[in-house]
Parts: sequence; C-alpha cells; structure tokens
Amino acid sequence: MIAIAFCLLAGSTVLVPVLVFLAVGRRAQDQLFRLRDWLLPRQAGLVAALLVGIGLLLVVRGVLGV
Amino acid sequence: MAPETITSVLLLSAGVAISPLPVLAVIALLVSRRPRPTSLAFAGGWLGGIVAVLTVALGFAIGASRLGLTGLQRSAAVIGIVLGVLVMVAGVLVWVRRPADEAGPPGWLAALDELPPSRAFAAGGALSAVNPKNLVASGTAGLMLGWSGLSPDQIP
Repeated sequence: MIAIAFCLLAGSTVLVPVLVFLAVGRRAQDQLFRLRDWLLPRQAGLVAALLVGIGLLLVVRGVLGV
Repeated sequence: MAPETITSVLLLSAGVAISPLPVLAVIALLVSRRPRPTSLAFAGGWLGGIVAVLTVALGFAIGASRLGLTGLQRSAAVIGIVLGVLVMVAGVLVWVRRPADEAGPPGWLAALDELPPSRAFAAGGALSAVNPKNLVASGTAGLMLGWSGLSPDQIP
C-alpha cells in the first residue's frame, strides 16, 4: 500500500498533466502555459526549499535515531 | 506501522513530486509537435525511475536486516545526518546560484521540441533516478520502509 502510494504521489505532478492532456487534448494548452509561466521564475526557490527540508528531515531522524 | 514512518515517507514523496524541472519538461513535450508519444514516454520513464530507486533501496534494507546486519541500520543514522547536511548545503547552493530573474526560459526547454519518445523516456528516468534530490528522497523512503518493521506483504 504505502510503496504504491509513494510512487503515485511522487509521480503525480508529471502524471496529472499528461492524463489531463489525454482527456481534453489541446484545450489544456492555455493552462499548461500558465503553469509554466508560474513555475519558471520560482524553480530555483522551490528546489532550494525542498532540498533544505529533505536534509532537515534526514538530520532530525538521524539524531533522534528513528 | 509507526505513524512517523508514514509521515516521513509521504513528505519524501512530496519532495519528489515538487520537481519543477520534470514538470517544465512535460509541459514542453505536451505543447510540442508530437505531444502524445513523447509525454507518455517521459511520464513512463519518470515513474519507472521512482519505482526502480524505491525497489532497490527497499530490497537492500530488507536483505540487510534478514542477514542480521543490524550495525548497518545504526550506521544509517550517521550516514543520514551526513547526507542530510550535504543535501541542505546543496539547497543553499541552488538558491545562491539561481539564474537572474530576467533570464528567459532555458535553452534545453526549447530543445525538447524535437525529442524522440525513446529519449523522452530516458530523460524522465534520469530526472527521477539520477537527479540527486529525487535519488536521495526515493532511496531514503525505501530504506525507511525496509527498516520500519513492516511485514513484507504490508509494504507494496
């Protein structure tokens, strides 16, 4: 259960746009462009925040020994 | 199952999911000339990479505990701390070296327009299995699950 949930959740951000496109075709284009324009300038900030978050999770778990 | 394990594994999956690069890549493929085969191949490679890393880490953790290598689990705590610090430093570097705001869309995004499906598949796999953030996140999730004390039939 949990491993499948992990894979689907982890893959969701790539899978959902593809599935939406398969369902509605080219009509999804405007939304896709809007998502791209939102994402492009925030890219580095998102990755940086996540790396710090994942690192923190690893350190805390390591220190607590769980 | 320990709730901390579920929480950590789900947090790690969000860490993989929030990857701007593959999302930008899949958008570029979806608005390219051949959206269907390339985006499906890319999504397959992306999911395949996640499954592969998780499976290898899970198998490694389960195998190690069956062999009674409990010392490994203890040293995993130390490795986790070292790795965690490195990952945090990488995060700071990504922020410091981020491109200037006025820089337009990167060149590789335009190059995706002509990508054949086989290479789209490989690119998807590379972004989920070779990218350091996603490798660490999926690998850690696999190790946590393998060492969580769950019975093997509860894990998949």
